[in-house]
Amino acid sequence: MIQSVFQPDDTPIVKLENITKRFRTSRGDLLACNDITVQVDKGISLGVVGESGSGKSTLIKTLQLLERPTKGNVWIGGQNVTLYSEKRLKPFRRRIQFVAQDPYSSLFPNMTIAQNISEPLYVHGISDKKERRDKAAELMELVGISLSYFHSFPHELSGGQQQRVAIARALALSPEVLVLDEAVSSLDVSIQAQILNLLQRLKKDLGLTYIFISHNLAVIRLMCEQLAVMYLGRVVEQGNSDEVFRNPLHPYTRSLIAAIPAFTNNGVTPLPSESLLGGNRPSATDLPKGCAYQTRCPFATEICFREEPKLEAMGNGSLVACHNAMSASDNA
Amino acid sequence: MAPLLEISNLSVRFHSDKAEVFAVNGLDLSLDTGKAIAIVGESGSGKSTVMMAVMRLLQSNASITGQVKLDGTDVLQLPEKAMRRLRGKEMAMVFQNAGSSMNPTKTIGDQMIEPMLFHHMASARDARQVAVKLLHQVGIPDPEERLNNYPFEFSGGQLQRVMIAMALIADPKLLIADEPTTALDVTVQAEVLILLKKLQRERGMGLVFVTHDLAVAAQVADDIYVMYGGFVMERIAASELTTHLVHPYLRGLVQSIPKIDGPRTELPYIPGQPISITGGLPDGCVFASRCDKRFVKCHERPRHISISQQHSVSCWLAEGGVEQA
Repeated sequence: MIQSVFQPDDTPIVKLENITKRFRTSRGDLLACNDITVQVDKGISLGVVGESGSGKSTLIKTLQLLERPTKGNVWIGGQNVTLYSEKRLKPFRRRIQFVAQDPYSSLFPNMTIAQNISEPLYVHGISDKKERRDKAAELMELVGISLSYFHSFPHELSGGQQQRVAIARALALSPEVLVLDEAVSSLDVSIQAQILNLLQRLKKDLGLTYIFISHNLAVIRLMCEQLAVMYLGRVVEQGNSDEVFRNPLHPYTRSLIAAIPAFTNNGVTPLPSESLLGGNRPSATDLPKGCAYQTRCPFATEICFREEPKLEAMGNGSLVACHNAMSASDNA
Repeated sequence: MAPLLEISNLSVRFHSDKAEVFAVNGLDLSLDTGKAIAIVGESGSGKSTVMMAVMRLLQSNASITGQVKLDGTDVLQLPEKAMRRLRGKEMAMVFQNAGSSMNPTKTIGDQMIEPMLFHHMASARDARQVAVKLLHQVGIPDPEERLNNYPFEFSGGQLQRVMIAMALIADPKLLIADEPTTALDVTVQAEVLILLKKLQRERGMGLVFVTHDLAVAAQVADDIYVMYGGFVMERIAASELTTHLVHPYLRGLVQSIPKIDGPRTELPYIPGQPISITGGLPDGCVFASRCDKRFVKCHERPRHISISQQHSVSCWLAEGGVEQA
């Protein structure tokens, strides 16, 4: 393992501070992230949920500085790296690694499994050829791929095995944080369970922290201690994931949880009887004044059309951005 | 009453240069009018092939045997011309990716009206009215105007609604939905599922829902058929899915799905890889090589053992009574 020499242990590994990201489009400015503040502490994995277009991907791209924010700061290990040049960023990149949704298209088809896994070491120039080979073998063992695949190419492996390779590659630089973007969504359920088990084991054994994007709330709950719910570029609810599931306070979180088909200890959640998500979602290039959820919210009152709600701490420790969070929770 | 759709002993094989693919192997299925069933399976289990065979939309390298009776008519015996009259009229299909199932160069209106003209159901002007009404029913705002839009002008969820409207245009008795919500956001998925379920109830249609998601299947269907390696492993009422399941495969599958209120521990999983149906099938049970309960008898292919009217299992364990574990 590579020791972190950067900071004492209680500084957050990554911190996003008032991040705003605006994209120029032909239809006007698109506000992908709007004043988002999130921090990831060591050992406290963060799950991010939200519909497509809610800004999840922009958030994690900004967090890895693959996109620079329009406003706000990105802190990695206590240093403000927002404006660092690529060259100065390189050592920081090692600490946050990424696993994409589709394992096949994220691996190099023309490289063997071992080459794929050791490529990050080559890019960062931190070992010689033999060391890289040994490291690849070690990582293959760690993620449960038989060494007989050492010289195989990605297309010769099944989807589950390819995802193991992608995870092994992400671990090559001994990162502190793994960003997993729908990393198990394209796998069949029986294979998905194997990958989830692997991720749980790695989290414990290597002391990894995850930032997990998934539409599968049960997966998020399994892997993450913290949960952030996004809607149209804003974090609308954030808190301990058990608490948010038990006691969702934002009307959007509520309808999101209700909308998701899931297994519970008492069978399968029923199909909601009528559409909980009535109303149209406004376009991200033309957001209404006030709360972005006003068009679909059954509890919207006059203030929601006027003023944008700020994230505020609730009694249960969750942060919620809703003018009527309390009364909404009473009515449900 | 005779079932709306009755499939007996359906087998589908694909011939290619390299090998034969045993996609579906002796499948029985029945669906009553006004009911919904789900066919659930992992990739390669043959779930989509079954319904493509019912619609007779498989490629020419497929050989199909068995019977598929729709309202008493064996559709596998019909000449192609008669089949064209049936397709879209008596039975219709909704596919996974609405965007790629539509003609990008024609407006939604043109595409909706076409089948009505083909089946001689209405004049062009009436057909337009029907299209407007249907779009309204599936929850597209301003249907009159939207008819003049092209597919790319709709969002994914809306396009799926348009496709459902298209499928309903001839008022079919049977609607087949093949992973209609897989490409959609969860919230949009819920909306589309609610819509499908509502339309099915209101119109008294039979609905076949093909999906890889057991939870979705349980939400939408009355009966669930679980497929593996081209065989139905278990047929079970949706309400009994988690309580009365018998087959070790289904048990393994359900246990491997994380529960939203479950413990944060490792998940039980089915070891090994899904069976390859290319080249040939094992003599015995197709699941035996991954099954932790296998015993001597599994060398013989299990027959379908009936447990109750709505519940049957292809597993020797079910012989001689079922123990609930």
